[in-house]
Amino acid sequence: MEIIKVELLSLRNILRKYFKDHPYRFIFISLGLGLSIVGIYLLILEGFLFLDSLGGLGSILLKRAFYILFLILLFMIGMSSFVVFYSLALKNRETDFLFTLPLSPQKILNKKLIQVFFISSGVPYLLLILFILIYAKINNLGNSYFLFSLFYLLPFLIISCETGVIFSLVSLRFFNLKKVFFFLFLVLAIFFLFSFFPKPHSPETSYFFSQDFFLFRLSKLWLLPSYWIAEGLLKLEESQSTYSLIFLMNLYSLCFLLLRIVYFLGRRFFKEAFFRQSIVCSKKKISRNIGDSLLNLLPLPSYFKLFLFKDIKNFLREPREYLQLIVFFGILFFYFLNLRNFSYHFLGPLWKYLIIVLNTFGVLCISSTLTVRFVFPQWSLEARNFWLIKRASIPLSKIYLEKLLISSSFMVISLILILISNIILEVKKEFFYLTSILVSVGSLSFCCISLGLGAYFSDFRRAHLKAVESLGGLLNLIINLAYLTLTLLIFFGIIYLNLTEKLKINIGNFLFWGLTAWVVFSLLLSWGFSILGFKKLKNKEFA
Amino acid sequence: MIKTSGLAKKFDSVWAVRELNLDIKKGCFYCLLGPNGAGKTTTLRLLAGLLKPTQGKIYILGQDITSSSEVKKFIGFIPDTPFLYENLTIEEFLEFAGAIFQVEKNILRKKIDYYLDIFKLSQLKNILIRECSHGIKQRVVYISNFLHDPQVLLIDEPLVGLDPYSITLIKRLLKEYTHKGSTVLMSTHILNIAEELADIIGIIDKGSLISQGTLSQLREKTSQKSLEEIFLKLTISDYGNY
Repeated sequence: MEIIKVELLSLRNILRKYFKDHPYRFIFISLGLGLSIVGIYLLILEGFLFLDSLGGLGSILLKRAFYILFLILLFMIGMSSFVVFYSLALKNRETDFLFTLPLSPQKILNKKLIQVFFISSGVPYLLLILFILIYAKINNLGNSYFLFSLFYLLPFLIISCETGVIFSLVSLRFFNLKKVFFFLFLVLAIFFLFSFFPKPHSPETSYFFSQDFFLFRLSKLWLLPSYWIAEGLLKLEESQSTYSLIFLMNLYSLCFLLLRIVYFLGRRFFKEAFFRQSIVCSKKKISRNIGDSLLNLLPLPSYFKLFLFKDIKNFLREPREYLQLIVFFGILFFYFLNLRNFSYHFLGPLWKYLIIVLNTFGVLCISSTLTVRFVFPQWSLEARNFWLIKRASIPLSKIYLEKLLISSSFMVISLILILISNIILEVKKEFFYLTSILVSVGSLSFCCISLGLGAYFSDFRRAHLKAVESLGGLLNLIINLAYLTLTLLIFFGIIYLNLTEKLKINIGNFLFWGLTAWVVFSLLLSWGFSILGFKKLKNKEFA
Repeated sequence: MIKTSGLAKKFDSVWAVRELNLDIKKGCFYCLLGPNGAGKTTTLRLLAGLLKPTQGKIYILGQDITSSSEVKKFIGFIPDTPFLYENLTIEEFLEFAGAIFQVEKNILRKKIDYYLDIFKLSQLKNILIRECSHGIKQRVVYISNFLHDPQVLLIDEPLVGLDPYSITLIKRLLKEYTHKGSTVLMSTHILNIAEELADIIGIIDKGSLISQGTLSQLREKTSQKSLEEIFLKLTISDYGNY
């Protein structure tokens, strides 16, 4: 109990201290959070209303969305629990400390499980509550449906977390983490290659919603708990309470069974896995590899290469970092895996257009999230090492440039993804260029904004840096989203009005001049944020 | 109190500790000396139950540390970089530490007040740990380890970042502990601390215990006068040319 109380006390102290030190900031953030929830609610509501307006097709889509949503959540929360458990329970100084106390490994595991559950599924739980609330409202299902559905969500989320924890415990006890991920990567790569062979397109619109569709097929696999919860909720809606109850019982049974398995594995493997992953004890000899030799071949100044080596190696040797990248791109990977199954050519022009918009939005969203997560904290992560950088004879501007170059790798990845999407969908030439330019310049702007704001808000005097969760991180996210929304509204809004003949303009001219103006604006914005961050960085003190 | 037999720890291909046989009696102040990377921290982490031995056994108070977490009630461990809950106040952290070791509430309250007073932290008890300096954090770690009156105290590099007042206080408290019958095992680089406090000095190099005994026994063995000379002679192979 004491070890749980510590977390609650810490949380209370953080909030109390923050409110005392920055009352306006506290109110601003609380309001921001409240408004974000309202915004998400309205966004989901709009989506539901749109689908509702489609009639029968919308209804089919909505039901399919249930299965797919829960399948994706099962995968995402499972992956997230794996990563969170690894970093919270195994590669963590607190665990180290707890093991010196007279606490059984079981008690330590209990605490870590509760933490993992809250961290991994807290936000999805909130979103699901909103989702179900709106679904019940749109379909006039009443409050009782909403309240009952909460009983379905809880075991499902626990199951998702338990799956990640079990996978984490077993793989970390018996395997090397790098080997586990190499193996997973290999399996996915083979799977991708084999499923890439062209399939005949069906001219029927219903094909998109049929079982031939890989993700739908997978989401309808009756063995998966995601199928049970979707089926249970849909049966509840159809007033088939007996069937619904069976699925609910399935969920609870599996939840308790997995909990038993977690405890069984915990008793056997938790301490062992902890010993294997212990931070201080690892004295691995890391030899120079082919990657080093390849990087050495790059025609760059030696100091540039040194920083490049340092940043890349720090990133690759920290599983918490690269695992998140894998999760982000893993989701996109599944999305693009399914793109080839779209009978794009048989769709109407508005649907075609919608898919292009969604793809661009998806790639830019991921790019924006990744820059906030990985580029923004780049300066803060230097933390105590910054004195070394500042004392070095290399100008700070050059190091700034190096960081920008590393960050730009996100631009390359995003560009590759949108190119794959465009090639698979065989989109028209003008849309091909439009989306490619939007994604590449947009991603570069995200990098510059994040790096600039990261430099502006970094505080090298603090021992424990929580850059992303800070006000700067929030501001970065808001600016990125504003830029993203503005970009998409300008281009796709006007093209949409043109397609629906509500606005008649020469689209070729608009694209040329519009894009030119937008590129200039983006470059000015990037330059502005870079200068802002760089100037502030030059004058920063460090402890 | 502390007994190890054939204790060894291997990381990949490197033996950090090998064939370590210790037998430290009740009330003994044992100092483990050694150059950087000799295996001192690994030894202490093995004894604290934070690492699993590759070979050998560890008995503390007659119980195997690797299989029992109950024995940890009687052990205090101060690592070189201690962990603290940064968002707790000093008082909250001490209350947590006492409660975890099941110290009775009334006694705990008195002890917290007593130690806060002698460590001159009474005025700071309500500030968050994250806002404390390194030295104050070190003092908090010491208090948290004194609260449950451990019978065995393991300390890794004990006086880093402490001011002269705290150093004198801690030296006095540690000595008092051993007089009351507790055992202290401490690793340090500061030779005069070892010279001043230790009943037995053990010198470890490349994972092996190369010599141990009282200061006078070590003097006899090496024909050197000061501990510095003894240490250098034992750990540097060409000490004559040094």
